[in-house]
Amino acid sequence: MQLFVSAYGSSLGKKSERLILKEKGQVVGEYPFHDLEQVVIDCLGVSISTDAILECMEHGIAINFMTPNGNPYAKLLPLALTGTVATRREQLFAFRDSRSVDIAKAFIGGKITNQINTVKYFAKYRKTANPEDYSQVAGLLDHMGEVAKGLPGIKGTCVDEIRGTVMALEGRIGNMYWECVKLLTSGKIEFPGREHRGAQDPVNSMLNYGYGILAHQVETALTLAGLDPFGGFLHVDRPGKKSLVYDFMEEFRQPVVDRVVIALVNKGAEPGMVDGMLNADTRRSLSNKINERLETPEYFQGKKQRLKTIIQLQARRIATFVRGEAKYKPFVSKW
Amino acid sequence: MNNFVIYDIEEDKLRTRIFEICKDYGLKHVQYSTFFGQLNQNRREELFLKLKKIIGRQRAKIVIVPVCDKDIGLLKSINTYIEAGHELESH
Repeated sequence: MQLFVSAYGSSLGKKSERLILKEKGQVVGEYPFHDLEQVVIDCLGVSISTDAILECMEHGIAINFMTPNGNPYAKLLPLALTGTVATRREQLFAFRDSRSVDIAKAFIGGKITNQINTVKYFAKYRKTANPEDYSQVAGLLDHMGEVAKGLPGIKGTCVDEIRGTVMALEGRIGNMYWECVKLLTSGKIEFPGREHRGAQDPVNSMLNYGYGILAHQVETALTLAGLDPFGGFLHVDRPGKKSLVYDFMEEFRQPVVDRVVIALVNKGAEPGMVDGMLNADTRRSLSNKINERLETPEYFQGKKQRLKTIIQLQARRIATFVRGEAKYKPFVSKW
Repeated sequence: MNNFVIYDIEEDKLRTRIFEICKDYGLKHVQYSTFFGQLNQNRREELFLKLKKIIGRQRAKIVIVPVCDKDIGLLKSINTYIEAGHELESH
């Protein structure tokens, strides 16, 4: 299970073999370390004892810190996890040769297919309910499919040569995708189009918060697989930027976050906002929904597996790919 | 698997100790000396050995009873205490 700490002034401590969560000095929850998978702290003014940290590390429980906007800023992981040199060395070398091209294209290919599938997933109910919107969505879908055909043709010897072309293609499809999302949520809620950091409207805020949770999940998976979350391919290096996390997240954004947010909006959820931020209740229900989604089984490699497991499997797959032991295929969710 | 852990212990200190350990294993306190919760084969064995070690030669009676899902579905309870969190929930 995952523990979310989101009340100002909470404190985390240890008692026997349990993590104790207190609010204003009152015990509000006790969680055996054995049952915990990760702890997410997404508010300010929380204190945590070193005993609790030590015990979490010994049980391999990551402690994630996020701002109330869903912007991850720190993560505690056991030191032992950074000891995998062979994978790390190859990961960094891969940036300079054709492996970087293959994997960057795989990430974006996965993302595009998932975008198309997500739109199809929501559009199939529209077909009869709202034929007018549906025909617009269908038109955009066709166009997206056309543009996507350009991806396999992009060739280069290292990712630096193709980054511009790939990103442009991704951007064009992205625009059409958000246009579709706008149509699919129309009438339910105001969605001004996709905005990234610092968005003040409910839908973008929910998306950003969701991506924050996903980023933590993805980063944990990458670290557990022995990869360096900073050594990306498609996203350019910049100090402090977890490029590989952003790269790897691409194929999971739609199936994990977008689907949940769009579904919530379509079911008539009314996200509450305080000072341009989601309020605590909305954050809680959204994170619950996303965690439920992460527990949902999907078909992958011929088996039904939980999305969470798929993320872990894919992270290991990247490690074997950079070591030159196997190919990398992105995860594509069904519609 | 659902389990009941039932104990009779007179010594206060020892009883608190057992109480804490049951909570460490994620069990819920449902009656004064009864815990209930999910434990797999390994965790149940682990709990048993741990309790056995702590008790040593002191006076105590502890029973760990696994209950199958079908039977737990037939569970009935009466609770007229207002205190929350003491409900026996079947899974």
